[in-house]
Amino acid sequence: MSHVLISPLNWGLGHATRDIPVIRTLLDHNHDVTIAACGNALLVLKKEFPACSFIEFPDYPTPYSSSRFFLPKLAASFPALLQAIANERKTLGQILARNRYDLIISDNRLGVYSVKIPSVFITHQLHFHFPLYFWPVELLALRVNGYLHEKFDNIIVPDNPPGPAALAGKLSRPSVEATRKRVFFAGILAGIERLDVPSDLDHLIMISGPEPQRTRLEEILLPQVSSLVGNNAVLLGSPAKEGLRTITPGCTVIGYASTAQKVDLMNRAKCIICRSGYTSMMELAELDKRCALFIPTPGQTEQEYLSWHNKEKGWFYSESQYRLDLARDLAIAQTYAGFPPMQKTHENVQRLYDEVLAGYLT
Amino acid sequence: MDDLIVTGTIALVIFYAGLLFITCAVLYLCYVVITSILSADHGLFLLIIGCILYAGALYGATGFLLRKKGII
Repeated sequence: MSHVLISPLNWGLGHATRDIPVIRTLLDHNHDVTIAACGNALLVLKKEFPACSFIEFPDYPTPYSSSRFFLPKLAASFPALLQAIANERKTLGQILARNRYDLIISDNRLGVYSVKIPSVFITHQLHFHFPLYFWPVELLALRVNGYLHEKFDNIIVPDNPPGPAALAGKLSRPSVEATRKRVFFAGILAGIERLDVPSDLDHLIMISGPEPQRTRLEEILLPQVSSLVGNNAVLLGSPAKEGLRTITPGCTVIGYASTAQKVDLMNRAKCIICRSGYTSMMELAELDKRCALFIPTPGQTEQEYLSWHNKEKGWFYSESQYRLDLARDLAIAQTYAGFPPMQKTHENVQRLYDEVLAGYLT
Repeated sequence: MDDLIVTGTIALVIFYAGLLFITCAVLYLCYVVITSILSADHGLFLLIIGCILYAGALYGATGFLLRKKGII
């Protein structure tokens, strides 16, 4: 029996939720798991795995912007980010000194590795996407990524290998040698499961992501919901509105849903309208959804690329929140094919354990 | 000190120095363009504009080719 330290980044819940199947598999193999996280990521994992040990482990400030100017804000926040990584390294040293660990799993936390303990890094972004006029920065970022990946023993990518079925397109393509020799393509890792429920919901609108863009999207979408026919639900994804439930003919607006409620609604939905976050995409793939409309968070280059990539592949339609016409865009979304068939989380996580993690554990 | 932090600090200093250099170069270019217009030296003005357009086209074409070839 080994002891694993797992630490997801708390920039949205995506990192924490995709680690759920990994943690579950480790527990199924009777390993001890300590979860080091902060904020909502920690809360979600505490709810999911009450028997694990937990450590409050602050991460980095989120460089999200209220405007489209994500990149200048990101560039300006580099010193604070570096300071946060320095603090993270210091805190990690204290955590490792207090207990014995056999493996460290870092989900997108750059400073969570040790030279003495095997460390693996989970990320779907081996390659950062920037607007074309920033191409030198994109080239530079490849080298920086390679340097960071050298600190880890393995890089686990929750995506299919590069090729026609790679959900993240170029983002999950290893471009430098340091990354290439460490990378393991695990396939999709979704924190939700397929349920045997009827598909009685025509549209599920999930308004999520960082503020203030979450509220902005709520203001854009809610007035348009009445134009939808059938049985619809809107998840506002705002913890401050927990308990709110407004029911109008054909539409239920839910302030904040628990993970179980959200999974139930997603399973029941015929069509899902959501942000183009990578975790949402893995969840759609896991549930074999054929209809979805993506709305990228303005200024988040990763989501903008993923939207474009899905549209280009003919998998899912996407539209900017500034040009959104729900009725028109949903009609277009129906014409898209959805993801190609692929291996699901259950088999993927077992393969990940057998081929990578088990090698470090006893 | 941690290797990651030392390298990160050096990289940041180079990054910001690069940004400062580019900003100064752009401001200087603006200054030269404005003075050439004010002095009615249209030859110099056209030369600078031509150089800017040429450099911009080269920069854009390189980025376009890199994306087209799937390198970025």
